Amino acid sequence: MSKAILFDLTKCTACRACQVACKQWNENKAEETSNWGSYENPKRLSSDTWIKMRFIEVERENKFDWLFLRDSCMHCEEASCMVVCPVGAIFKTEEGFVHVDQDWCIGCANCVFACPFDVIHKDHHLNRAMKCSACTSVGYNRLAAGLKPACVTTCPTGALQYGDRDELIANGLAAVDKLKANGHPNAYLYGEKELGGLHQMLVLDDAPSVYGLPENPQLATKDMISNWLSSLITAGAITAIPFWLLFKRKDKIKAENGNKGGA
Amino acid sequence: MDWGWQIWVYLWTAGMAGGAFFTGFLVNVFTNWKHQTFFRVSAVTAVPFGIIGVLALLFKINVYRVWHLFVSFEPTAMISIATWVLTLWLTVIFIMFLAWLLEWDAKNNPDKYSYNLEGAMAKTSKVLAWIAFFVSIIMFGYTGVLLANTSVPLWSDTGLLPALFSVSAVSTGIALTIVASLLVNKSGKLSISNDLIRKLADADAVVIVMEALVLTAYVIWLAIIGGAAGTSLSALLTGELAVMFWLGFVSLALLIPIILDLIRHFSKSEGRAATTLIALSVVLTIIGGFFLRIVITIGGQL
Repeated sequence: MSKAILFDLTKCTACRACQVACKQWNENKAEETSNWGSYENPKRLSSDTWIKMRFIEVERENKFDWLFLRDSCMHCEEASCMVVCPVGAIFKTEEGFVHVDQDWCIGCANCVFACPFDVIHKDHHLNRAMKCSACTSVGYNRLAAGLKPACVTTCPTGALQYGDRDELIANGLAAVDKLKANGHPNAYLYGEKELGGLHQMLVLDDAPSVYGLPENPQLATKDMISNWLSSLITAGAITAIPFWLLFKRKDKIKAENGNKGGA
Repeated sequence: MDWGWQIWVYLWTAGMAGGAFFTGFLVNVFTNWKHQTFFRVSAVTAVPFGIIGVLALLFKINVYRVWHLFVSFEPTAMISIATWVLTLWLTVIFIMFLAWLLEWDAKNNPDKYSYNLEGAMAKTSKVLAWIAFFVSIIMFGYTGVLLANTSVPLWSDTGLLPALFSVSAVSTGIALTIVASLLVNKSGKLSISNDLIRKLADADAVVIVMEALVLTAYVIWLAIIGGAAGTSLSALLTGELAVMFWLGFVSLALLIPIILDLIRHFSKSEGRAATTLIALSVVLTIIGGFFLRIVITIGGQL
């Protein structure tokens, strides 16, 4: 059965309990940080920080708004990290979450650049890619034990829900309808359709771009055929032209003049 | 930085190795296999650069898990394709070298073998050369595709980066074969004709012009797209990578070699003067090709 996590930002108080629970459950190291002018801490996701709350300051209708967003793996149905992994170390769990096999990853970092949400990072000491596994990592698998992901369990306001994806889509759409009825015409359920459907969905009270989310995220290999064509046509055909002109054609002309040459 | 010097070296040497083999093969095949010596010099020169590329990649990944690459094949993963392409390329070329050695041995010891081994090996090496030629195109072709198949705007938004890397691979590949030919001539053991070297320099000049055109289209396209791609472009053109972009890549790989080739052409330089101009031009082309990989790889990670 396809599972998912639903984040409803209208219920989030940005207490960051999910951030702490993730660190604790997965035994990820704390990071030394410094004040950079925001409550966001740390500044970005890393191989040791798999969830963080993002604080977004916006002005809407001449009013200042402070928005909160949960940054972590979106667990894409069409996962770019998975399709570029050269050893098949990234795979889907039976629940639909995207998992990095730490015992098989070679640390090439191709997945880091493929991810459209910039959530996967390389641990340079261990030489492996790390990210949220929705608590399915070997030895830390809460789902196999019948538990919810640590972040969901710890959320004190019900902003995070875990369950069947179809049910959560219905819940998310209902929340979006409410928002629309309450003066948020651009409210949107992010993840229902993006990249074949995300297994982390977000109830947004405004357009994805306001939250810095890509409006139309794409699979990293979507242009693979045209990229190959761009490369091979140039490589195999166009760059061969000067060789043909200078060696084949000129030799032919020389031969016709009865004046053969060679090295 | 996740992709540092190891990846710059890998992209540069793998491209240049493929380009050098491509050059040697095309010259030979377009002249009805008359330039066998040059082809052999090109192939022998290309191989160590291919190996350097592999070693650079090994420095980047978990070296104890390299074997994972050889028990997997992921058709959408460029590093997996690169692993198998480089392996195939090196294997085919080493077998071709073996065929050349046997051909040479049979030629020098005609009584040693009861059948026409020389002819058989000559035919075998031609077939292997054709295979290695097509593999070499994929080998230098994938380097740009590796970067383009990502979500990094500078690398993936235009679809022109693979073309730019391919043209640069051929340009640096031609340059490498010229350097090898000049060194071979200097050693006095083999001889590559000056006429051939001049023609190769002319071919490189044409490819460099192609590279400049692709670069211009790439830059214009990035500027039109704007957004994150435009920000990365600004870093290249006017920001923190501008010195490396303009002096390292544009000047060394494109402008100065073209100017030197024009000087050689219009001054009708011959002999030592022409050789000096060609040597300088190709060395700068090779160095400039390295700067292209550096600025593009760093630019995508800013």
